[in-house]
Amino acid sequence: MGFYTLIHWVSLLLAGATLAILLIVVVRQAYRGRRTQRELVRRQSLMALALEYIEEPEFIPAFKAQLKPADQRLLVDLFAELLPKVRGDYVEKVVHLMRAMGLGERCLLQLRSRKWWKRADAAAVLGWFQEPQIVNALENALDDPQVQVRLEAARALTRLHAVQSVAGLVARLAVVDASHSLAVQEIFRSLGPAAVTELIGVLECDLPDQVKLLATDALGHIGDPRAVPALLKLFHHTGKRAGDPIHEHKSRRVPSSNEPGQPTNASVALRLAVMQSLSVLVDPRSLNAILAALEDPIWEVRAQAAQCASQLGSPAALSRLEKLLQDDHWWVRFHAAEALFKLGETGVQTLLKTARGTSARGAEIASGLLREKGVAV
Amino acid sequence: MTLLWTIVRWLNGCVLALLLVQSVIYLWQIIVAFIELRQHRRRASRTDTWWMLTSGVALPISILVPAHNEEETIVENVRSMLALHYPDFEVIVINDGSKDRTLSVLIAALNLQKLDRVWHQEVPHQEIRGLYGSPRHPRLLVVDKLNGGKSDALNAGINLSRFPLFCAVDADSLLDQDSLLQVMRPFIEEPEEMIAVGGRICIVNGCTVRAGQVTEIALPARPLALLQSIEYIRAFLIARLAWSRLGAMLIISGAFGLFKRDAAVRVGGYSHDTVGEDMEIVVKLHRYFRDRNQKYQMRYVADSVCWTQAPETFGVLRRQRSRWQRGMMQALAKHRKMIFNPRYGPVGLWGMGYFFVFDIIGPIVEAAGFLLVPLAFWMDEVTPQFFLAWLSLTFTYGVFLSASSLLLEMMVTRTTRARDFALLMMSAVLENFGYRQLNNLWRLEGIWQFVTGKQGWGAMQRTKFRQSPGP
Repeated sequence: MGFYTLIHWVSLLLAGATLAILLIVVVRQAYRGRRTQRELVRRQSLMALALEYIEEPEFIPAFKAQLKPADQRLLVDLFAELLPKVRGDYVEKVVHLMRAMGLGERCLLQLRSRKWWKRADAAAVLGWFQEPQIVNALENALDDPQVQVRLEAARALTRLHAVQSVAGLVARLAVVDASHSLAVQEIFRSLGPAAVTELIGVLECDLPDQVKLLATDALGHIGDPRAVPALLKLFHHTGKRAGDPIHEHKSRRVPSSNEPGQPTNASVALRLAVMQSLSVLVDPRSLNAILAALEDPIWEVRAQAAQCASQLGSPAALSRLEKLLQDDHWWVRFHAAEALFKLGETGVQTLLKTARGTSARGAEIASGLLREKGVAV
Repeated sequence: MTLLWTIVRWLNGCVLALLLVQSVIYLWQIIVAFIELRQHRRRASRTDTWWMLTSGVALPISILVPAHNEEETIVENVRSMLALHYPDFEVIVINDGSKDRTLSVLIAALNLQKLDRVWHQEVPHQEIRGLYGSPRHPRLLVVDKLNGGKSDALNAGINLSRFPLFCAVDADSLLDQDSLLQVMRPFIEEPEEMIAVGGRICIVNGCTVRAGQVTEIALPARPLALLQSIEYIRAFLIARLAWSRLGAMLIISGAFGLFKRDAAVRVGGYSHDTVGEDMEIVVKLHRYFRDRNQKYQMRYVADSVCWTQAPETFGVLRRQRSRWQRGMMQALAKHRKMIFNPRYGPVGLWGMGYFFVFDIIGPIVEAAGFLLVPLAFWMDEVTPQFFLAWLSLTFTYGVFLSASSLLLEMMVTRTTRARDFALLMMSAVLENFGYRQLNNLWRLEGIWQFVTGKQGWGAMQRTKFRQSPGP
């Protein structure tokens, strides 16, 4: 075959492929457009019917009789969207309807699908069913090779308050590739008061800082005061253990605006997380730790401690917050000023005094914040 | 004569080699984009926007809207931003010394009043004349400052923002209601390493807009905007996806990009000495993190859509394209140390190398090709048979690429009508006759402007969005 013949054949092939693609695109889109439209209409009518039969469960068999084979998939999608948005009795009514329609079994089967997204979809819907075999299936799904499925199964189990052990969740979620994901964080937050003892146990175990970070954050969000001593212990322990990284971080501290803004090692992140949790827990036992954190070498910890102090509302923090108005780092000064303002009249008076004082740095932040809050300086 | 003959032969070889390599790269991009999109589609379809809205995982965002002479569209744009579906965000509109009534229409329409806000200058910008807000719109802050360019306005926005992430959005653009939630997804997956995420830009010309939202998607009626539609699809569904997959994404469009505030501050914010500030900040971020061996990620999200107005006249399009070329060259020149430098990984080796060869040398070689063809004919170096064979190959390959991008478009959007696909395909064929050549000419103009040190944006024309009748 000559050179020109080859080029002509390649060109012809490309032209043919282009025409084929165009044909596929146009035909498929036309078909999909029509199907989408059809499904939309059907979904609307199914939704209307479902809402009607939810209130009259005795007529569910009649509803079931009206369904076409493809409707089951549409109904699962419909209820998957609906369930997170309804509250109270309605949840149970919807789940009852789903049970009666056999949708629970359908999802249980789907949980064994070869396609991971179908397994993940099924796990998400099954999070509304309390049956022991479903809980077992979700437990098994925690060992799924696909992280998305494990996440959905974990979320479903937390929703059902059926997590058997926090250690199991830690092993299957936090120690694998998704450990940094905020989705994992949210699952731990949803564990609820029943998991507090186990979460405290995580803080005391020899586990990676990343896992302790999740437990710390979860304890703060759950808001159980039992967590305070463990959190305080972790804060002090991390401070001692992380001597070197802190020293390293401190040595890098310069008053320039280009100073690294994020904690660079997990122990710093852990100290920050403890402070954040303490600011949610608002427990007087944490006062000394907060006062110590206001003088922490890490600016992020000082800034977080200032926010924490304002939540606690203790006048004991006043003098240290006043001192922080002169801090090298602007964000620390800002959070200290905000904290003083939130402390009430005494805090505002401290801000006014600093605003009229001789230190330009302190005066700038104090007067700026007061003006922002509408207080005449 | 022998020397001229040798030069022509050598240049011919260069043109052919360059085209061949580029064709192979395009093919690789299509394959990678297809794989990426397949995986992405599965992940995206699993994004539960309700969960993201209610679970508290979505980090707060400051939306920065730099505005210069935007009186036509600014109010509608701000209203659309304020109506976005997102749990916690603020909108900071920066009036960059507009000469028209941008500020006054905002004040009148949104009932703004002067206010104070304490802030810290972490990145440089021009003087701020005043801040405005409204009790009716507590999420909104309007900054009035002296003119300093788009980078300057964005820097002012960064300084005034208080959230960990900021989203830069053009004032003539509209975001889909769930765009912020979609673009936030990579930050949820990798909150520590993720530093920037880019969204997709689509052309709003022809679409119907109601209350700041695109309610009906349609192709532009004017031919020039229609030709740009296929270009945007190619750029955002092939090139950007492929570079993102390789970890060598160099551009996050200035019209829509989400950044970690702290990372942007660390690199000194947006640079003032370039008109391609969107590319420059991304290159700067790559360089900063690579120089320090710090882990980082940047990603592109194909289903997070921002709608922008495409130029409808040759004059405006010419200014835009030559400015893009100039901006790209400024960014590359500033960070020339990274080009083909293995120290910068795929970014330096492939990303910047590609831009250097195909976006700087490429237009020059292509122009040289136009001159060489008649010369080569005259010198009997090229036969009409070869010329026609080559022409047919490049033409069919170009159209094949565009057709493939439509296939990818079909994977992302479900709303595009079959008729519109056919129209897009037609424009993919037609763009080869004049439009591509014109584009190359404008790029050459950009190269010339860069060489001669031209600065500034040139005037852009804004028109009101096409409205649908009220209910």
